[in-house]
Amino acid sequence: MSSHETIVSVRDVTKVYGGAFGRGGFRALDGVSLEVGRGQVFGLLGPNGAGKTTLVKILLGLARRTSGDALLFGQPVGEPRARQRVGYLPEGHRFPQYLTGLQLLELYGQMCGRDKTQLARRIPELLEQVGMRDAAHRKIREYSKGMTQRIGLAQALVHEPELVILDEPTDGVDPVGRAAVRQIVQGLKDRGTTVFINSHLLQEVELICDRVVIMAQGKILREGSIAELTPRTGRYRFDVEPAAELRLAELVGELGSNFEPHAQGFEVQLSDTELDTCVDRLRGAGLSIRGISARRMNLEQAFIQLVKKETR
Amino acid sequence: MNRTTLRALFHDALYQVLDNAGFRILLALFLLPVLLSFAVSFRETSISFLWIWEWDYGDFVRSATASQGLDAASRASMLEGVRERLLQSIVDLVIKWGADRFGFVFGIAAISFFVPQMLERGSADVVFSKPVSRSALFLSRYVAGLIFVGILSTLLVGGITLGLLVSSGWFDAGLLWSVFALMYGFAVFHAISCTIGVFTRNAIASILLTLVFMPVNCGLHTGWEGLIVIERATEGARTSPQEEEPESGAFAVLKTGLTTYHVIAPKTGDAMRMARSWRRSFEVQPEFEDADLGLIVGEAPRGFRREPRSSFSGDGLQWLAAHPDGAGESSWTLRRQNLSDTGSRSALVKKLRKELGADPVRSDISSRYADRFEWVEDRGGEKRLRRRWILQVSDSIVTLDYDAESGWARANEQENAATAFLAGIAIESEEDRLMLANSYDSRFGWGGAWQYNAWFSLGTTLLFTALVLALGLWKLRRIDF
Repeated sequence: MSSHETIVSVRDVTKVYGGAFGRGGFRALDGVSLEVGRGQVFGLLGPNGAGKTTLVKILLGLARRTSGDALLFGQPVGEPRARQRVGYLPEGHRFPQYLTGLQLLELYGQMCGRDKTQLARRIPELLEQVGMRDAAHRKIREYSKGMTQRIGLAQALVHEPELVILDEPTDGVDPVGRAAVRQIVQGLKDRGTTVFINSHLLQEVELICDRVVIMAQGKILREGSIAELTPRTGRYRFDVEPAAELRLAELVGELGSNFEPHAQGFEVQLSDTELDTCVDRLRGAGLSIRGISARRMNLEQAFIQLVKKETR
Repeated sequence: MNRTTLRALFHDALYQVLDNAGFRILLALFLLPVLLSFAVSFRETSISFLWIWEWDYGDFVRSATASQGLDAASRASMLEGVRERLLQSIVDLVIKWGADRFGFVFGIAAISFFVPQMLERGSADVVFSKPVSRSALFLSRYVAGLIFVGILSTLLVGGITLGLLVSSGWFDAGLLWSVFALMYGFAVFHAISCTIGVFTRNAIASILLTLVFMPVNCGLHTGWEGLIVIERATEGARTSPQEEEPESGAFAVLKTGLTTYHVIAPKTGDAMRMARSWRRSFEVQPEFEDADLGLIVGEAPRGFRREPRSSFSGDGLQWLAAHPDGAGESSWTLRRQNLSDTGSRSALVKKLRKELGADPVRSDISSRYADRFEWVEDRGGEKRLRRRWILQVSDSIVTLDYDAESGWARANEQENAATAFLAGIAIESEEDRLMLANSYDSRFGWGGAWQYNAWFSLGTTLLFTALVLALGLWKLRRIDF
């Protein structure tokens, strides 16, 4: 598994809907540049209308870019060959209602160049993986939303793609199904498959993505790892023994702010100097420090803060 | 695109067709005449249903003409070739009206949503993100439509052909060309429907606009064909070049407009003409044809051969048959004489009536009034059955004479042969011939002038279809989903 090889490369891509001769129209993407390396699980975040879906559609040749360059596996997007190694689960997808789940996987597998022998091996294991083995011979029109989502995930993976683009993959899926989706994504990551996720469920993105891009109004606001995107809050959690509340409040209560005791110790907002003082005081009082952890913003908080700031 | 992908697209098209409700309804409707063609047997003298119930053609004619007071001879004349005419009418009804009209409209309505459905949000995202070109996906929907109509028309035409062959022993190879005619027309209109579907991305708009285009296209071509007939008839009636009058401005514009449209637009109506032309090449040529009178003798009387030196306008066209026991010959003689030489038909009839002392009976040939005399002649001890039909066609008298050994001629087999021979004689009316000679239909063929040339029609129609599909592809490539 190597992340040096670039799978997706987007350079200064702009997309303008409507308008003529470069004037007017709606600017859905405005000079977007990003790169995704092999084996990464890449999250694309942004409020509605940020341009995430437009970017995905440009990568898949579903929409044409107004300017800039976009490559998939080093080939210009838009070429059918460039999509050969890509699996895609779109948001709000509609599959042919006249097919059964099995026929759908056979059709899309063959459209991606897999022969019947390969598919005969691949499809049963995939159906098992997404929990659709028993419904494989039923027509898609009889599927529930969750089942359609599962078969959708299966069709994106049927040809064992090297890049999987998932647009709201857990939409309509129950909690058990969501866990299964996460497990599948983890499995893909383990096998070195690059995964590109576009999701509103930030907790999920936080759980499975290596790198994240946050977009708003057609621009990239921030790009980085989850740790890079979620700054420390200055709040620390101390697990101490014995965790006697009154004594702790006496010892460190006047340090920092927002002291909050809990069963194993306490949480408090501290500066770096106050942190040292706090540790010294606890040790001086003969308390045993079992653990100190710096509190970070979660992705959702970071996302909201950033988007609010940038779009103000 | 590799073979696996092609196969996948073909299977997808097939699944889509087989799941289509419109297809299933048409399949059930088309199966009905096919099953009936197996169940109903058209025999020489009767119709039977499931080989159990049987009705004589004579009973039908008697009950149908009871109020008209027709005599036995007229009824017998109506029965001549009734089986052939009945079968042809039924096949025409099923193919022309059932498949070509109703089936066409219903078929277009049933499959017009193939392309708009593929372009729906969500559906397009999935399909067009696959490593298959938009052209291939668009053409696969087009092929799905052709599969739709191909299965149905083959089932209908092939089923009826087989059914009639099995139950009635009737086979018309030309009927199979109807499959081509149906597919040809459908290929054109379906291309239009697909392209409209790409532009509007709306199934209702696609159905309505295609269904509006069909009669408009047909009407404009018919208008052009009518113009040709009028123009040629006017030219024919003109006796000198000095009589030529300049065309009015409006007429010239109309003519140019219609001619341009005829050249450019798809000529789907020509499919049946092409099928007919191919059909003719498979058909046995008529035994005799006189273009001047418009008289055609379909087949020689059974068991007779034509005397090569005989002539229609001379002593008469003669067919001879030797009796099996070697006792003399029987003959049929068909002769044309000028009215000015013979006198009127009624004068001829009166003369013969006086000679024979017998009255004629009415016995029409090809729906033309004909008097028939029948008498027995003693020729050297041999009883000869004589029959003579006298009829007038334009400014000519046509007589048909039958002369055969009486006992032999009255045998059922010979009577049936005579009936079949008479049924095979066709005489077109003068108006029909004039109309036909000037019509687009009569001039249409594989070697005519460009306006009437089947190759030109085929080429321009296919070019139009290809251009319409190319337009659809051009638009499809420019859609941002």
